[in-house]
Amino acid sequence: MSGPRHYRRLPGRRQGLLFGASLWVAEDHVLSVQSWRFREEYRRYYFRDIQTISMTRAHDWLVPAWMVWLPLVAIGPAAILFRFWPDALWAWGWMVAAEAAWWLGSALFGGSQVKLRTAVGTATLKSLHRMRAARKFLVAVEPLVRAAQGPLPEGWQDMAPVYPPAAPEKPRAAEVVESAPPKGPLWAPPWLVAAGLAAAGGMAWLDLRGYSAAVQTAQAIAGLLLAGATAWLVLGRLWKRVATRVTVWGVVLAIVMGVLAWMRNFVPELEQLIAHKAGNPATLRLTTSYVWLQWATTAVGLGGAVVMVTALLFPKASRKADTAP
Amino acid sequence: MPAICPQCDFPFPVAAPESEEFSTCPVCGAESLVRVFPALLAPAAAPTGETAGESEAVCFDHPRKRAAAACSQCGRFVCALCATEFRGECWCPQCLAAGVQKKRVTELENSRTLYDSIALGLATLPALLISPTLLTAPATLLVSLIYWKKPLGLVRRWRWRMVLALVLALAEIGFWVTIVVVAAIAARKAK
Repeated sequence: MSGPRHYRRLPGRRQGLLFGASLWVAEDHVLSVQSWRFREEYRRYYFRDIQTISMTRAHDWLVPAWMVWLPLVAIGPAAILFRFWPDALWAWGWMVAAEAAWWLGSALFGGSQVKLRTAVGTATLKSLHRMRAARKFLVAVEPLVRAAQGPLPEGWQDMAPVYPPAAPEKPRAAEVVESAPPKGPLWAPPWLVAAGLAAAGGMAWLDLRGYSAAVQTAQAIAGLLLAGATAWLVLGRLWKRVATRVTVWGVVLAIVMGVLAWMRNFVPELEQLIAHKAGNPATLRLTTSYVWLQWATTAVGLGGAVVMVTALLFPKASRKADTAP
Repeated sequence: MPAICPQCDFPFPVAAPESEEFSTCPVCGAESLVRVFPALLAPAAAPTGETAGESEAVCFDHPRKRAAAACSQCGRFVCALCATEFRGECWCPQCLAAGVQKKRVTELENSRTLYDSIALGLATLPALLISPTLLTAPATLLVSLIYWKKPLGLVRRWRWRMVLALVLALAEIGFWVTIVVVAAIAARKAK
């Protein structure tokens, strides 16, 4: 038996909190790795079998993990700096706004969907969700496939049978592209997650303004909505049905919201504990961090809701399942 | 026009094989760049195996089919239908299946459990809540030692996750031992 192959990483990588995807190349095939945190699944596409590689412009709503972690990590130092530099709040806000603007632009104009076709089916390469990475991938892989298969024969455009054989009448472009999202009991609808996020964000804002009675009502509604959406999605994943990137991202936001809410409740208790132990409440008060967490919860909740609704309005190519010939 | 649109599966205009321009599908309007390779033009003909005549060697699994080759692993005769080219040799379906089952054929493995990630997750995630590490730290130690020699993912080369998990587990165990010792000393002094 021969030893393990040596793989070289190809451009393009997707890394979420749970799901990851990457592409590797060996001497005779491309290896697609999809990781589910504690398990990896592999698919091999041999150079001699690849029929077409296609890149399609598409909106891509995937949020990289670093975009979630960066504001959460930055809020700590910002809260400390706030005591010496009052504009730290604005600096943090501008950083988040710049990050969101970059992401929105990239999602609307820089997304791609790369499909690789062989004789037995078509696969979407999930790690190539950005156009730049897709182009780099093509530059790296195309010569290898051409070297394995040789050049296209003269007059190739008239040679192959067209699939499907005859093209019947189809509806106009806009009607096809704006196709309805998949329906079914195992699919978590983005509007539900969006509503939950909006409610949670509103709750944090109300809390900040001092309307505690309204907060309790909103908290209950947000909790129910988010719990419903999460349960719905988890059931869908269990049965390996289609769950869109939008909904997965929504649930990740919901988890972030939960962590923020927990921290929000925890921080005042911590303040009291420290103040009590130290015996000097004036110097050890950390109430600014409480306000910071409120603002973070508001920003994540309302921003997430806006993005989810935007994603619903631009579903182009982001929900299409793999096709088999 | 042999290519098809990746979005709607209808014929797609591909002007030149190495063009950098995106084309618009006339049916669905998706903008795509499609690279076509000669495999698309090859006829998809599956081998069927020829019927064996009298006194001819036959396939082990198909007694009516003429043997086309011998398996390089077990020596069984196989017909054109059963013969599989693998690592430049002819393998029969049974040897391939056995190789996959016993994890000797890494080229056909389609999934692996990442024990190093499990160990690291077990060492780090419960540490956020501190108290569960009382149970998970020894569990991490066990997982790391039991699965130390298990193969990593196909594209992973180093065991740093496993090493880090071991170090963290030992640190967590050390932490709890210290707590117990300090508590015991404090209790003795109180008496």
